[in-house]
Amino acid sequence: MAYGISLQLIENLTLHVDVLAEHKLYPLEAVAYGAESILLLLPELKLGAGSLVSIKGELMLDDKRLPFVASGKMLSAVPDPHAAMLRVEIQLHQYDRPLWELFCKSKQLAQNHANQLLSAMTGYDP
Amino acid sequence: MKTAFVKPSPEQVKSFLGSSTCVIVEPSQAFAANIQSCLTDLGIPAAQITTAKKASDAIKIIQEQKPKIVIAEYDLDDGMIGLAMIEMLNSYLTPQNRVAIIVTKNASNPAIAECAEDVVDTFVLKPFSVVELIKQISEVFNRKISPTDYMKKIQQGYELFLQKKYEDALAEFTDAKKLDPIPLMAFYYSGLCYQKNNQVAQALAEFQQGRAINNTHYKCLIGEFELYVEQKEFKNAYGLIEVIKKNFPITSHRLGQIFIVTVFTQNFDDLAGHYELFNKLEQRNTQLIELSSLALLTAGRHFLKKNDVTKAIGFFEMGFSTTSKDFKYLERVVVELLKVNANQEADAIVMKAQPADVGTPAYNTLRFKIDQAMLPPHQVIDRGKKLIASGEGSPEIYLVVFELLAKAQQERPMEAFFSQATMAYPNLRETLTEIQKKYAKSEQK
Repeated sequence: MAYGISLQLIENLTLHVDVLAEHKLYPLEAVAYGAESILLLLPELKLGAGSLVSIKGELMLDDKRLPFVASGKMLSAVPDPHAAMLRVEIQLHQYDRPLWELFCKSKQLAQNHANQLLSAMTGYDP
Repeated sequence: MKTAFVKPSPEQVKSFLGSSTCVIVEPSQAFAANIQSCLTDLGIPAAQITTAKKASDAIKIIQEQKPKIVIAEYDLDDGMIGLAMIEMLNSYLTPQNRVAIIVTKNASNPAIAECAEDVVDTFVLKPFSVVELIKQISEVFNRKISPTDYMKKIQQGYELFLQKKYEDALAEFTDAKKLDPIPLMAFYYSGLCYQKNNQVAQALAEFQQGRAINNTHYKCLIGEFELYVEQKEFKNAYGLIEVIKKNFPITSHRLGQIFIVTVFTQNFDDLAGHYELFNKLEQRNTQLIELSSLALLTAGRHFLKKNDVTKAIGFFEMGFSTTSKDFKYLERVVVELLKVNANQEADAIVMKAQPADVGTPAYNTLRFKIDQAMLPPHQVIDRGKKLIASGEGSPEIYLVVFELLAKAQQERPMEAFFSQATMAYPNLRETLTEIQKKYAKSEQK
């Protein structure tokens, strides 16, 4: 079982430029996600905060790879303090909401299962 | 999504870490940077955090720095796993004095179980929300920084246990039992202390008291199981296998014990199920491979004795697969099959040899053994002579060919072959002479 958010395309909808293709960064994995956002760490970027973007990629869910397409807005693009990279947060606007919710829920269930199993086997309190 | 948690204060985190360091072992720079952000958010100074992309670099860093905190990806480069880093951490710090975290994409039960064996503090699945990671790490810190009175006693007892002061440790665990209404860990560690003191009955009583409260408490269950294995009470140990298998994923260490118990209790039919577990494991060490293949070979032999060749072959094939098709294993299987005249089956199974093994001297010798069982003597003699001519004549082949010549009373070829054999293997002279005499006598009779 594995989970992941892998992006093949991030297109700046104003400039019609695929940032990942331009810098050969695909597939790019999201390092984190929120209820309606994803966090990426990119080495270079031609996007400013507020830009509208279109993204294409896959959600890996229980070893299934499901296509995921969304449009959104870049909330922030700030230098990471620990690496020469930009921390880019994309707010999702139009996307397959049931699929995204299924991903978030499944991932949370898998995390809960891991916590319970580890706790049961090591013996410490949950 | 539940995210409410108590974040430890930066002072508490700094106090726990002291002047020690934190090492992040993560192949992805992006994930490493994100984990680092979470750690600094919790109050760990960036100067005390080191990241390593490669396992080999991480090993050097851990050896040099002796960090107190290790956060590692489960799957690293060069076939290494993050647990190797945690094991290094465990070699110089007790669980309560260190933080060991696995952050990984690998959500499999066997991976979690292997982590539990190394007392990993938390197992975080990627990708995570930053809040989720901080929550998971905070909970670990809180357990370490502010343990309950019960856990403090357990920790004190555990320190004494590691120092082999079992009586003193027992006193701590006895005190701990008064501090928690469900003191399962206290029962478990008390059992271990008694076990170390060779007080088997008392040890068993402690594990069983724990299980009386919670029948599937992993530590007490495993404590009892391992005690039975240690005492060679395999029947009792066997009785616990189903409970363990039903409730918990099986680690490679445990599976090795399960194979042993199953063979000693002669529950050979169960081995097919264990073989499936073997295939699901992500980490298989040499010891487990040897144990499982030997168990499956033993099962095959058992069914050969019962004249169930088909079942025997099934187990032999499983064993062959566990060894990644090791030719030496195949040789042992063929020998077993030939012993019961299952010649066709031996012939069929030798076909399963890896292409790289086909045509090697060992392969040709094995084929010769099968030919010896299946072909008429003159053809065996011819094949033996061909192998000898091609430089693959083992003493065994010389003896077989000579005996067949002697049996057939082919005196001239026999004499010539005697010279050839003794030239190749002078120490065969005595055995060859005996064979010669044996058949000369039978001729006189």
